[in-house]
Amino acid sequence: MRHLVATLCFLALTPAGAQAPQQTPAPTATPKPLGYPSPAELKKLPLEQLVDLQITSVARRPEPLSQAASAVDVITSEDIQRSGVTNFPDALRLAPEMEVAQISGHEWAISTRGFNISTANKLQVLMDGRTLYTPLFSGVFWDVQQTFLPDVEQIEIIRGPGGTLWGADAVNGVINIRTKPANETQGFLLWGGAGNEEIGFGGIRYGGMLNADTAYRAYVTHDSRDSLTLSGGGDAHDDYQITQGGFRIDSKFTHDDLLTVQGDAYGGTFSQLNGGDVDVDGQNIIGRWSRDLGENSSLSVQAYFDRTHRFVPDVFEETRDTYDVEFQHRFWIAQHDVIYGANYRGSHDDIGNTAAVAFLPATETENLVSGYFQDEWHLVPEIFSIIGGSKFEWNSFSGFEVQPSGRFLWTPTKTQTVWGAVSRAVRTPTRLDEDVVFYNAVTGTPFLIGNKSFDSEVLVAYELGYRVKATPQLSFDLAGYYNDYDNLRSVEVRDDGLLVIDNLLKAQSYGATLSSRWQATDWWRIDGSVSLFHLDVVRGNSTDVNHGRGEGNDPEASFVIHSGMDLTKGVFFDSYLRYVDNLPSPPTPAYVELDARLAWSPCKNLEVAIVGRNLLDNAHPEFASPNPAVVPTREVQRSVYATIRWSF
Amino acid sequence: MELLRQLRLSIGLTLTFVWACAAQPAPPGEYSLKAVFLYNFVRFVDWPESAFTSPNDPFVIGIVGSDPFGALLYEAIAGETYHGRPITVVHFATPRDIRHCHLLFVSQGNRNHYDAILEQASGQGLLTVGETESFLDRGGMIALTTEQSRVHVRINGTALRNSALGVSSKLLQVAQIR
Repeated sequence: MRHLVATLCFLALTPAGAQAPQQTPAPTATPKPLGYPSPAELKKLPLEQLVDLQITSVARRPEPLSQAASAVDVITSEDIQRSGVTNFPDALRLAPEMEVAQISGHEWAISTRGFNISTANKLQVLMDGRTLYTPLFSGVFWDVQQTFLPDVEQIEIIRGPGGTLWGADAVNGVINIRTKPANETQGFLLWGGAGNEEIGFGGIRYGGMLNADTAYRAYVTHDSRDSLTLSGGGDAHDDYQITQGGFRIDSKFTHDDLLTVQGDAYGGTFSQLNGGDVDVDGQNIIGRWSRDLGENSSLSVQAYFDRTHRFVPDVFEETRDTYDVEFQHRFWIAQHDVIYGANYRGSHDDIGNTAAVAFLPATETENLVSGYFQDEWHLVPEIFSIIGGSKFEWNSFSGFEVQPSGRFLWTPTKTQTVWGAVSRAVRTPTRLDEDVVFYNAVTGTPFLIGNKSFDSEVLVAYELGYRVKATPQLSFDLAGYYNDYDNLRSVEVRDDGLLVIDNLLKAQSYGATLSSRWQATDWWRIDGSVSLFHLDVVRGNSTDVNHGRGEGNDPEASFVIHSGMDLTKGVFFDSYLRYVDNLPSPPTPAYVELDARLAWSPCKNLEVAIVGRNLLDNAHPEFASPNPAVVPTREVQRSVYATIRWSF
Repeated sequence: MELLRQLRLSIGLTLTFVWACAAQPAPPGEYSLKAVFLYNFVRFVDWPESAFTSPNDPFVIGIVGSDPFGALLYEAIAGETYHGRPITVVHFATPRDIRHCHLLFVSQGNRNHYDAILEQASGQGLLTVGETESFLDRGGMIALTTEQSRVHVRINGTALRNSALGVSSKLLQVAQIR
């Protein structure tokens, strides 16, 4: 394990390797994208036609990752396409240090830097500015997070606390999914596929212009997957299907103003091994206005409404309406890059309680008001900066919370970066911590209850990172941390035998991830990462019935290695080797899996591919059932499917 | 029979791909177009003779910092001349490295260093071309900005007038002057 020098990719954005001002010979063999007019052809056009030409998607130039003062990674739309994944959880497996374990046909445990359970609660997740986690348990229902995958621009993953800018519950990390602007998704795009486990997935998108300054797109997508298999044999009867449609409009109605309106609606049905089908539906709409206030200042305001509904027969039903308004101002003055903002979120729920579990009261409105600021001070421009800031937040569960962070970024040479951070972040109480009651199935009396005085879980994190570009083709990124948690959730035994949720656990975790990217030749890229993790839970006076092991089930080691080859013109072969160490409780064996994709693109607007996932085993468990007698462990099966992607 | 069936299938598939690929031509890439604009600036701007030290001097396009063009710019200038002078491309890694050239391209990646670059690049016979409005605010002459999937030519009239360069009306007609 440890000798595996693995990976990541910070090669992007290299100044063409030029050192001294000397005449540069013309590069040979830079492949011209197929089907695009070449400069030689464009030269024949008169000047007045050149200014009318519409160009293909604009290359985004985000801040170079190599200069970020945190452990950050980006899964690009190209990474998603080359991997052949069909959903977000599988896409997240591409990133370093992400823990992704599929539990059933529609459930995943997803976290980073530990504390991974089916209701993992230490990750903030957003899509196009909309928060995806539910205040029910501060986690994400991954089964309803969809969009038309080819229109995703990137998935940004920040490991470590992001509470200063991203707010509460960005404790162990932040995932920020961004779709492409509408002007980059013009015309028809048809994408889809089918196979043995993927019964049928894909959709169609059309984009056009409403007027010269306003672009739009609309899409519809569907995903239908076969059920998993049971450990020991048998079908898990948990097949999955969901259909979603949506739109996005971007209008640059003046030179300085950009207005975006987008929305989605979905409906899905997930079969279950024990119990009737889970039914879900949801609708959301978001408006965002950003304005350039001169050269060194920009302002943005956004508001959204999000409704979700989930019905789990005999367990619970949740209808939730979330209203969110946010304002942000960013400006540069002297050597300071300052950002501040404010946010209000109201979330109203209506829970259908059952004989098994209840949330009391059955309806509740959670209010959250927050403000934040951050100053990135370039003390020695291009060499050394310090970044300080804090979020101040008031929420209706735990009251006032402060989440400060201090960071430094040192770039001693052009090819090396050192950064460090100390941050405080909190995971605020949820309905699951305060209001839940679980009933004994036989007697009908409560056996586990929430705690109205549950307090926020608190993390103080110490992080250190180093990046180096050893050669123009080879780069490394090392990030380590020591996390000190207090007030962690525990389940205590009261004198009368009733189980009560409390805050009596503490824990320390430490770990590191080494990633690298190596452009071995102009047609072969190898990248990968290896992560180590260790957690010590301190039980102190706690009588936690889970012996301190109920809040996380994490591998101590994992790696992912990717080989991407451009075999010949238009033929691409990608393979991924993934390793996840055993999980302690409930014990789940370690596994190694191989995913591969062979694609052929006869021209720019068409690509066909065959994808194999989990090729090394017929089936493997990723997250064992805590109570196999009641619910057997489900296993993820080998999957092979064909895909097509055609734009016209 | 089986062979024949497979053959038919593969012909059918091939025809499908040919048909699918025959869909509308794809639009050009951003930097293919910008490379052709740079070539057009060489055509439609006049440099003073003093910008050249000898009759055999080549016309030099400089690129400071990261080069978004790769081979595209070479393709755009292949076989072209400026009044008989061959056109060459040089790269400057940092603003400090900027040396004699006739057209300096300043990519967006340099946006924190515009002042340093323009200070270094002040010369009577040098056309500065950037990619952002703020490049013009700082004193750059032309910006090739990308908005709504189109490339616009924006000109800083003051900066150009103060230079020794002559700009053809053809170029002015397609540009937005401020």
